[in-house]
Amino acid sequence: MIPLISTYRSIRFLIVYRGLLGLSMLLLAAIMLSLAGCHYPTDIEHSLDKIKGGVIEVGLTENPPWVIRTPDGPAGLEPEIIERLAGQLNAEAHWHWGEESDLLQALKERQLDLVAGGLTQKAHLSKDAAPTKPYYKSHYMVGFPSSIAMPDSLEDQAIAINAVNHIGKVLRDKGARPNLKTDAKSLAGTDGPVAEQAWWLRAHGFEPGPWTLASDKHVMALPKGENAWMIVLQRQLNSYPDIERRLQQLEANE
Amino acid sequence: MKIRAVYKLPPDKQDDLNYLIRLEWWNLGFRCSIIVLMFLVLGSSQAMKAAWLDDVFSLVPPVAFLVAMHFRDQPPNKNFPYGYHRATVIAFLCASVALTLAGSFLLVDSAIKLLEVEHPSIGAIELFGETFWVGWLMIPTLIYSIIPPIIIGRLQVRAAKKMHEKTVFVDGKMSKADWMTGLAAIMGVLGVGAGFWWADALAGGLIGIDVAKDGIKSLREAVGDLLDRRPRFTSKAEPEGVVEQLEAKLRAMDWVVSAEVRLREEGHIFSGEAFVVPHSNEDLARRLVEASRQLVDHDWRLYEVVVTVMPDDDATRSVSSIRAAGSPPLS
Repeated sequence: MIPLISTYRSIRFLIVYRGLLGLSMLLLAAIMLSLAGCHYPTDIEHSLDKIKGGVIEVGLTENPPWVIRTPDGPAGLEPEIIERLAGQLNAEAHWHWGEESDLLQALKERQLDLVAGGLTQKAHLSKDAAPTKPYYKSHYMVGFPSSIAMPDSLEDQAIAINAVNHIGKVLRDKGARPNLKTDAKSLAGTDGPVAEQAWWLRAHGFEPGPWTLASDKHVMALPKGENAWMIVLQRQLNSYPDIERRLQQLEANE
Repeated sequence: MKIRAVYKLPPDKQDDLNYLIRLEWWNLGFRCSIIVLMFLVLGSSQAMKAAWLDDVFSLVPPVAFLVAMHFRDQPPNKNFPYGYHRATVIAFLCASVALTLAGSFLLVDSAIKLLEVEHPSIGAIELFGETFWVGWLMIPTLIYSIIPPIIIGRLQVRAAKKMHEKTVFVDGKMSKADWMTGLAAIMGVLGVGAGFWWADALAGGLIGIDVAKDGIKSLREAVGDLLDRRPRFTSKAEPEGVVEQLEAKLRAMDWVVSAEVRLREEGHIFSGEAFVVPHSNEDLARRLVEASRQLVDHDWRLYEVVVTVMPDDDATRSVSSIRAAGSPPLS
């Protein structure tokens, strides 16, 4: 008899509890929406409200041509994007230079509103920060100087690559022989094929062939939970015109 | 070795079963579409993750049922003389263990996020040249995830009652209650949009509790079946009256002095033993076979009832009743 009674009780409890829960949730939804007003979605720590007509605290890591450090302040693609956004929000960008890990820590502590530095989509970014969706895909390709005819395959080709790379294995898998160069100057001065990002190849007079070796997905990092600020930045990133050509120009002017 | 005869469903029940199988295929199809859609908009919302995991685990009961359908109609053989009817229950046990673990995981994970005051980020996405908040995609997806389970759940419950398929019945009950999960996730997403960091993890935790509760409920059902609990109603946690009906039927036979029956469930069917005290030993073998046939004909779910004869001996009966009451056996 006891199990029967307890089953009955638990069923009755469930019905009451579910009904109440549903009702209170609807109520909560109404309150949330009215509190949020016309700002929807909004930030948890109100970043966007503080930025509008105020200051964007930006953390930068040098990484040309994404972020270039000059005596007159930051240059490069990402500072340009941020400057444009700051202009639209009547805000001023304050730049703070630092190592990526320090900047991300500061972002987590909410000392910064944004971290840029040619960041690419990696798992560790989402641990302390909210990365944007990739706004640009940078493809690693094999480029040939105009003096060399493009071969049908990479089989047995000696291809120059930067010593620090993540395309060496792909090249070897395609049967090519990677030839490591320790600095960018000697890479650009090579008279044979080079594997690099497409805009880099074009900037240095190489014609990219039909082989895509890898892709970097470029993002910026925001504090977690700032959903309104995230949308404003993402819109700016997605609508920024001619990123590829700008990167090529910046690289050629280096 | 004596191998069991093959169990045959009555023709009208076979139609019902075919309907149930079709229903489970539809269920599976809709579930898959929900899972794919939700995966596309998953993002880093805890509530969304919880609702998605809930939907992934909801695949297990229909898959288990459909897989078990293939096994359980195989005839009993030398190695499995009792047949394969419990295949569904084994599948159900696995599903409920998985469900309980997933629910507990979600609960703990959400609790950690609440304790760490984690601010959930729901990003923006570009579709058709417009950049907008992913939350606006999550909500319609969640609404879509609510509707088919409610309808199919209702049909499942009805069809499962007819077929005494408890696994499908419990699954249908859970599907019907699934709208709570979807609603909680919607609240979580809306809450984050309104700037409440705790809404997401709270919704995730509530979903976790619901999933774990479903898991424990089906775990109890599956374990009860495997422990040979006496047959219960499909829809109620109450014993069925079949045992008493069979006993009455036996006692009504003119050669029977007294009779006792015990039955167990083997998935959707019942089996068991009947203990009969006869007036005399006259023509006993034929009478036992006849009695067994009549008992099995009583209800379509009865597969096999072995009828045994007991001497009319008060002493043996009292010993067995003391043992049944839990006292140590007399030495």
